[in-house]
Amino acid sequence: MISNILLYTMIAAVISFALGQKLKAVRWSFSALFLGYVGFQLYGLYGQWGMVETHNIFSLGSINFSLNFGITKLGWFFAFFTTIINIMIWIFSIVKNMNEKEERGINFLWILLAGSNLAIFFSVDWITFFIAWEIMTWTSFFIITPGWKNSFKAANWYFILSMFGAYAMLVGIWWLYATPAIHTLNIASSIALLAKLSITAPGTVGIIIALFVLSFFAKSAVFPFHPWPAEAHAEAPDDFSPYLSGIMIKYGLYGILLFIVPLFIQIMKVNPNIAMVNGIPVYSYILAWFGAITAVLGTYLAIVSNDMKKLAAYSTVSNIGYAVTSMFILSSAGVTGGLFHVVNHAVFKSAIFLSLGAVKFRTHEREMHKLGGLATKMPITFLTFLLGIIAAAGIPPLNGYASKWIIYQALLSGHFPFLTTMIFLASTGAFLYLFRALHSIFLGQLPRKFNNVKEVPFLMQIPMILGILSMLGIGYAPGIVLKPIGLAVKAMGLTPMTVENTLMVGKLSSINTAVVSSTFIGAFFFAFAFYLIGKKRHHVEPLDNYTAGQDPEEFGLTPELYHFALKFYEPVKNIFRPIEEKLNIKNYYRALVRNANSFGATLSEMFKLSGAGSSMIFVLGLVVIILAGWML
Amino acid sequence: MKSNYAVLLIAIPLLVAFLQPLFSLINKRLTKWVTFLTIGFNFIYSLKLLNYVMANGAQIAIIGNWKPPFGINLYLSPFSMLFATIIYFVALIVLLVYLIDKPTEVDDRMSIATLLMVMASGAITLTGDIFNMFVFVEILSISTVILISFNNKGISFKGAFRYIVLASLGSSMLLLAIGFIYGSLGTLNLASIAYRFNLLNPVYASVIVFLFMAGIMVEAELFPFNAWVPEAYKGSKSYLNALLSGVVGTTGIYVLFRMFITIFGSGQNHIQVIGSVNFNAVIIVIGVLTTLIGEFSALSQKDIKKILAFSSMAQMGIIAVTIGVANMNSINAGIFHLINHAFSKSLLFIVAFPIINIVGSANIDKWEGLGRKNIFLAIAFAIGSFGLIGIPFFNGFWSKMMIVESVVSAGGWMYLVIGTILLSALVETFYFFRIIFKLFVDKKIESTYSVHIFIYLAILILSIIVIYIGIKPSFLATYIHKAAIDLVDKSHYISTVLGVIK
Amino acid sequence: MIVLKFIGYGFTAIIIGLLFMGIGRKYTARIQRRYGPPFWQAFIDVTKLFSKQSLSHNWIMDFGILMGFAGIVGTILFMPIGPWHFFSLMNGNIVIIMYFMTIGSLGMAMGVSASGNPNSTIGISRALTLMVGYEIPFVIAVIGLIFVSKSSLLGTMVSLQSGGIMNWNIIKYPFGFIAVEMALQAMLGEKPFDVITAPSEIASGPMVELSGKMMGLAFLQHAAQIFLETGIVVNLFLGGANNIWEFFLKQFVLFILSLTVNAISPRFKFEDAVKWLWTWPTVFALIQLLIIILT
Repeated sequence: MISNILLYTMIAAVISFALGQKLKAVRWSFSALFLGYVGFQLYGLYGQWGMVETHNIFSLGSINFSLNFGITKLGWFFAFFTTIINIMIWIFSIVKNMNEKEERGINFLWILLAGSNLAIFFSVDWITFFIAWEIMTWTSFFIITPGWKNSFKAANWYFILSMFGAYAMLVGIWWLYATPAIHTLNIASSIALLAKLSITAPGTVGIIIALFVLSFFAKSAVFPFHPWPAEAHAEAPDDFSPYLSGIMIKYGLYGILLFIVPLFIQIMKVNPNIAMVNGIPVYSYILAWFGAITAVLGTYLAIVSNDMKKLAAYSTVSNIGYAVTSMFILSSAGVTGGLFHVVNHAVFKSAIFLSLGAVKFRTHEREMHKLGGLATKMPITFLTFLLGIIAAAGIPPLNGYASKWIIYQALLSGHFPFLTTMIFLASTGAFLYLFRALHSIFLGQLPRKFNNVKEVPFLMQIPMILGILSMLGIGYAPGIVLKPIGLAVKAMGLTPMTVENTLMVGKLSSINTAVVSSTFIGAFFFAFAFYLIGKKRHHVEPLDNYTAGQDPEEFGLTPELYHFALKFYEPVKNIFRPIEEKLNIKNYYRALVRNANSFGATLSEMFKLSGAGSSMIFVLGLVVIILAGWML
Repeated sequence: MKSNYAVLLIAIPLLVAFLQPLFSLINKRLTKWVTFLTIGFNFIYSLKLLNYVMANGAQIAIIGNWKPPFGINLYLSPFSMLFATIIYFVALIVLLVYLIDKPTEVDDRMSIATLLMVMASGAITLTGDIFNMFVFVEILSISTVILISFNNKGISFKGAFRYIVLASLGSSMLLLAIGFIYGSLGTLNLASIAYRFNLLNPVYASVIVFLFMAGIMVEAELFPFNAWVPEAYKGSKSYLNALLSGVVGTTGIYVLFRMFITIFGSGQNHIQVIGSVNFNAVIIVIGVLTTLIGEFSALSQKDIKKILAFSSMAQMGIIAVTIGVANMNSINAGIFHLINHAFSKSLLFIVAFPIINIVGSANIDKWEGLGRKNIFLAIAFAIGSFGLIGIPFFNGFWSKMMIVESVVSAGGWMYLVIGTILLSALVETFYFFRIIFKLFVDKKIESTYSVHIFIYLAILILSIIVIYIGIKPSFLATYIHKAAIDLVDKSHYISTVLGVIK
Repeated sequence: MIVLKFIGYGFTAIIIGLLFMGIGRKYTARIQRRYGPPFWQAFIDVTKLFSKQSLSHNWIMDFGILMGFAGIVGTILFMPIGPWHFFSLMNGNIVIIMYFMTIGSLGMAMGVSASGNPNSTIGISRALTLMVGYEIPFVIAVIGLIFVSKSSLLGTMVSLQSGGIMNWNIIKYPFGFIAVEMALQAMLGEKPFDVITAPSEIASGPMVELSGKMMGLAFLQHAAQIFLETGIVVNLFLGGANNIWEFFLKQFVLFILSLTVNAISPRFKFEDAVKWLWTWPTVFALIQLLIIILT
């Protein structure tokens, strides 16, 4: 069943590629429809837990390579939700790609990517997982950079860090396999065996965990791998950014939920002499701190960026930070909160990126200070973005709130005051950049060149409206997502949180989201009653106001001049400048790349020596080898 | 089937090579076709032999009815026949391109050199006599020099000169080693050397191994004996580089495999500690250094031939590591990777040939926009690179997986080794992806060069192989499995050649 | 019934808030040796504003200001006012309160920045930055209280403080109170933290484009905000109250304290304000938190 779906995906990719250069709309509609079919099939797979399909590839020596697909609760959950979001994005892509040159190749790769997306979530052994992981990495690389020079530089950030992670995982996988006490490639049994091994050989287990964590962190852009999303998201095609941010960056988190978190939970159960902090293993606590640092760092970097897609990308980084911190708390609420936040983030961040894509579709601008005042021109886009940022900021009654609430429950009931503070700092900082984006793009002054900007076509509005509805829906009744999450959490060996459709019960307090939502609506009507008092409001053009009715042109006033958007948070930057100058991870990476280049250049000089030089190397090398061979 | 006819694999090309001047009197282009057909015969015949030995086990071909250890024999085993077949195959594909390349003044001499080179490589894999091997290595070196320097340009001479200096140094080392062996063991037959090698004084034996290693590592492109590689590749034509890498390099590594595992190795446990020297470690260090140097050097290059040259060097390094690790999985992995590398790298070199002609430069910066002019070539290049860097469902993926597995399972300081190799692999992935990216940059290329159907054919065949091995590696796995068993089974080797030893 | 209760909550907050504002103006004037306006001046102002013509640049401006007011009123429903409480399940859920409150800030910010005036936008950017400044010490102090009361409900915290002044958190956790009191000064936007409005720098900041009932709504929002913020601190540290009058009194004490500081302080430079909030109150809050964790 699963392998059929994957096979169909490949066939669909080929068909879609064969559709020729002219049939752009047909191609993208076809792929969206196909994905709809996949979603339908996945829905049908609900409940068939434990089903496994095995396909032998070959065996050589003592290893047997096979592809194993199975349905786990966590995997199904991820597969289903990511597919739904992907459908949303592809509806957007239909119109977006009408005038794109590179869309054919992108579509081909993207369908493959969607297939590997499913394969990641359905693989039950490490080889399959790794294969899917690799395919996902290279297809996305070429989607991010379909022959555009700027995006190539950006994609390299993504690619190098991802590949680094992938290789770390590869070593980890084979290390698992080479350890006699484990010697399995099956994910589930490797968890159980590793947990047992942690009693006798904590060092080995620690290193294996570290290798996997490196890989997952690199993919999910957790500190110190946080620089890549900003680069890659910003330069990627505008319809791919939502996918990158909503779905792809979650693979690392999926890996953590699939492997690291259950492993820690198992270790806590079977290993009595593991060092603990506040009831969780020290390793877990340290990793939670990585999440918290990511959250704060992402927030700060988002605050100081002027590029709207970079801003949203850093916001993604910081949201990943919340989820990571929450997951490593290892409590039921923590894992639920992290998982729920992953879903919520996927929803609202895709909505945000879609609206940014819509803005760019109409204006072709990415730098925020060049935009402004678009709210009245593009109301649906504005509304999507507004609700998106409300959700992202964790303001009730939208969905982001529900998951943040659970995260706080987890952190507070687990007694992690400093982690809570970090998360809260990041979360409050989120208002800064989110509002800045709202203001600079949609509010403020409308530059004259955008006077004729229109709302995007209806087909592009549909996914945005769907986004709005799902944000409101999940915010009103988080239970619809929390119930399947409960199943996945239960499968990890935790007691799931008590939830009903609109009720979440925590250890410190409980919350009825329906009541919260209706409170907001009630309060709004209350305020509206006041608004109705008195005379009707009077519309005035902004510039007229400043010149007391005279011609603004005579004063040299232009809307652009009055749009305060550049260096919006200069004071914040000033406060952090001393730290930023000293601790810029990006510079370290750049230096690393520079050094690798010059290292290579130096080495290759060796091959430019003359014949005499070459023979010298030959002889000297031989002598050194012989001497070293004897000495060691 | 009489295995003695296997000698035709050497005799016919040799004979044809001598007759080439006659053919060239008729038409110089005819010599190309003759070469092509001869190699074609070799390929088909060796394929037949391969299947025969796969079914019936290793055979020997006795030359002149002199029984080994006194006479010269060919050893036809799954391992040697597999590589002979692959060498002939790669050469055949390369010759497909050579056939339709622009006619030049020196076509007849080129044909002879090519024929001799392929013949020598095949012979090296098949021979069971160490002096014979030396002779063929010499022939290989000389013909390679001719190939490199044929286009009469300064850069070719530079490369060729460097190659000949190093190759002669290497040959003298080989000759010294062979001299020592003969002096001490009184035999030149590989099987009887294998049989009696551990009787030698360990210090003496380790000197022999060192010298032999240095000699053959010149062909195997391993550091520090590979200073010829980039310039020689740069000087010759791109498709001929496929011969350098796919034939010469493969042969070099083949010899390393055969000598270190079967002949010098101590039988089943494959641990080659001779005297106080741990040769496993020596080879691993050489391999890792070669990989590191190769990949990082390639990173800084702009010339596609040099990039691919450094990359071949690095891949040879990785394979050398598997020889050093020397457990069953690593030998399987090494053989597998050597085959994969031969196919993928040849594909890349052959694809580079029309691309260089279209773009008019081997500088990858000038390649921008090629994918928009000729998507087929761009995709083929991508397939070759994917095969090489090991993208899933391309051939290199499985062998790299196996290499990582075998190296990691060796444990200890091998973690450092695998770390270095993967770091280099990261670099390799990066620079190949950089080239693929450049191919798809939106830029117009003006060119009137039209790609000949034979080139497309060659590219198509190799691409299909690369993908087919990636999707269905199991068909190759049976060959590799038998080859590896043949390789490690020292006593079987000895008894096959020398008969039952009393 | 519930609607009436709702309206009652809203009006209580507004009336008390406006009253506080009026008294506050009188009080400040007396400190500064002026006569000052009558204490009902705030009511007069609001009435006048609602009767004037109001200018607006676009619908988002109206919408934002409505949302701002609604956010604060909505938040007040979650706060226990003496014996009154609106919800029993979420009686003062502090996490909800803190996030719901931001609807107010966000709405206000959206409304005024839709007006397009750079002065108001600068004001907003300062307001948001300052928010990060004061929320950190505030949250650290609150985390401490949540730990000791094992609940994030203000209602539970209040009931734990019942039974005399010695049970009040202000006595038990004085450093926390100091931190929160300092943060409260910034929350209320009083000197030395009045960088948001800063009349002499950015012409009243956010308010600059508001007129008529827009201004009136902003005024009401401010009144409700005073009520809300002082109310939270009363619930957190001053033991809540048994009846609403006691509650109002405690709020008033806090407000007067803040006004006193306001009347005699100069204004911080903006960056310094944030830095100050991240040093002194944060240090106090951390000391309190450490004491709580370690004991």
